[in-house]
Amino acid sequence: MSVPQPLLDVRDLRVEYSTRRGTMHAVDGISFTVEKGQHLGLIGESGCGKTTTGRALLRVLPRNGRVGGGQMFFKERDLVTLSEREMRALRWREISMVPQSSMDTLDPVYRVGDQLREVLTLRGGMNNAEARARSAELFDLVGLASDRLDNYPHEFSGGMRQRAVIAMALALNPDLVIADEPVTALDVIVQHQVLETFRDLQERLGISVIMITHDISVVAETCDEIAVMYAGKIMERAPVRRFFAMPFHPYALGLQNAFPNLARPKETLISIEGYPPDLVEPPKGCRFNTRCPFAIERCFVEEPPLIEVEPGHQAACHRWREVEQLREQAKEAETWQSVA
Amino acid sequence: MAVSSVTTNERAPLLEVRDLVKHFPLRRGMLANLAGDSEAVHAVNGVSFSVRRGGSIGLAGESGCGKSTTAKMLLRLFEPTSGQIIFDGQDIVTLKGADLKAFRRRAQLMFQNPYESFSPRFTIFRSLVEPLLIHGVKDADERTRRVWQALNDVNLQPAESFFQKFPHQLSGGQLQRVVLARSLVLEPEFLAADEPVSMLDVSVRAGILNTMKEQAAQRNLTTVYISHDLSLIQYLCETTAIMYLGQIVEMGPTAGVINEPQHPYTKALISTIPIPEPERKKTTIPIEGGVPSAISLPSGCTFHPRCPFAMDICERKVPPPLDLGQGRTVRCFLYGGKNEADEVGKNAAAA
Repeated sequence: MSVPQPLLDVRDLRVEYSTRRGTMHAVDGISFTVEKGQHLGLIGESGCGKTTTGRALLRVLPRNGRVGGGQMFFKERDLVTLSEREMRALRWREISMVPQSSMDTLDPVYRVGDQLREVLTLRGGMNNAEARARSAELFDLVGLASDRLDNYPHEFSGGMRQRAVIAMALALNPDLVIADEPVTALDVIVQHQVLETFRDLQERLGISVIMITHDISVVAETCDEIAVMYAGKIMERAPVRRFFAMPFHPYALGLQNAFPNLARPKETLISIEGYPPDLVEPPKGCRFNTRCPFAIERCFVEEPPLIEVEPGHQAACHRWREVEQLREQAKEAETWQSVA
Repeated sequence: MAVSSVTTNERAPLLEVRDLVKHFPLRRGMLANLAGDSEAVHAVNGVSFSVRRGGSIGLAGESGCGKSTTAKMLLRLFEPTSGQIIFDGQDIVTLKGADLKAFRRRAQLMFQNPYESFSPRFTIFRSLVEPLLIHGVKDADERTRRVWQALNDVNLQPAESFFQKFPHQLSGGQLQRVVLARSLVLEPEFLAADEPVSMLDVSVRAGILNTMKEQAAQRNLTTVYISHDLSLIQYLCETTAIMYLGQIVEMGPTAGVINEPQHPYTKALISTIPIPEPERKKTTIPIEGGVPSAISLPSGCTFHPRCPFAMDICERKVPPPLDLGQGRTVRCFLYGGKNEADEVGKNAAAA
């Protein structure tokens, strides 16, 4: 009996940047999978390595960055070992990206339709007529009128430009789209429209998405799975519903209490005091130990592994067995102030 | 503390804004100007509200709705095209010279981006002492004491350890606390904050918001918060005003506006805000298209081209603010006001 392989299987991925101060371990041994049609939300605060992870998957890291170890199996090929030529053949066609602040990535001096056609003809090998038809189809897919193909980017609103970039990412029917903060700069109404577009893609085309964001409510509304990153590590991984119902990692508990919820206003919001550790010289033990109100001696010595805390749900915390008690304490602001 | 000591004077609004308008003329060719063709961006089109001393109001809306322009006018950083801003009984629109400077001491702005709010060459002490020097606090010990107090109040402790630090040595969260300290160092009565935490990570946002709330309460500060984020306004403000294309379309006590929105725009806006509860069933109110250009505003109610409930009258007449009771107002013909609109129309025609 053969077990179906996930579309993407990342194992112990490490990404490093050379800096003047030494090697920075931006992503330090993370593992996750994405199934076909699944939407994974990769969340965390700035500098946690979520964008680096996305760029490593496409091997488009900045010049001072490199994959320092691990494997990235995509349709059973390891992306780490593919040649640059093989990688180029795979970008856009199999994995594409909606980059950060992508509404500013369109070239202002070319018509939007021409930029879309470039992807379709140069990468997809279509002729101009085919490309034109496909462009109209793509615009329709993301909710743009096809007569707007002849517009220049400045004639589009921010939300329309964002959708045009999404259309571009979908141009060649990729299996996986990596969307890096696709709605962050958008107003809520437009944000909602763009997120609807993503949900629609999943339903209609079965495309897999890695949604990189700092906003847990965006994940709550669009993703099936969530992976919480902190200081280059995955701290918790779970089906979205389980994560919101039963978070295990203290960082996740903190995040949930720090996040305002319009439907259920909180008396006091809780902040996680302090800031993430320096990744050139990461601390011993758990990376979260400097900000964790529940840290015990062991947390400063031994790094907690990511282990299964319930079926399909993993967390990296030595004290996960006491989580029910910690969850209660985490709701109190005083608990978190004790660390500062 | 004696609660009964609240006098009628303290209940009177500290700030009252009446029919505030700001149009930015578009620079066009000389010929167009000669031809009398004067196009303008209609950023703010008749905004009125008041805030009691110690009270707080949140102006919310999408980008381009005029919320930041309104805040800047309140501090006289923009000159209004028309309208009045009554601060403690005095119209600040006409202030000049020493009077304007005296007003500026009493009213402060908290900036949005902490990373761009400081000179990288100034120590934190130098940045904080600057306003005191400008406003003539002559005694050096007094200045040091006040800088220390401001830093201490925003929970940067021990305060003296921050004096000789440079901005790049602080985290974003700490730096935003320094921004707050700087806006408090002159002991103002009024504080406007434009997107005070939008540049910060969620994990540290709450701490700053809590400090702002604490300080506002302790100092009996009157505050205006500008944000696109209604959950932030829900957390900080007693009154919420929803803006659309330079007008307040709905205003009232925060809980009422957010839990029972009346204006179709407010309803749509609130229904699209993501909620961190995957199990929750949501009904969103679809609205079409994007925000129209503020250069040529739609006729009548400016929301009518996108409104799922638009009627004939909405295209022709501007809905007046209607009192719904319990301190709530809404500008929408669904709740009446058709006759008043006729009156307003007649008056306008007569004028």
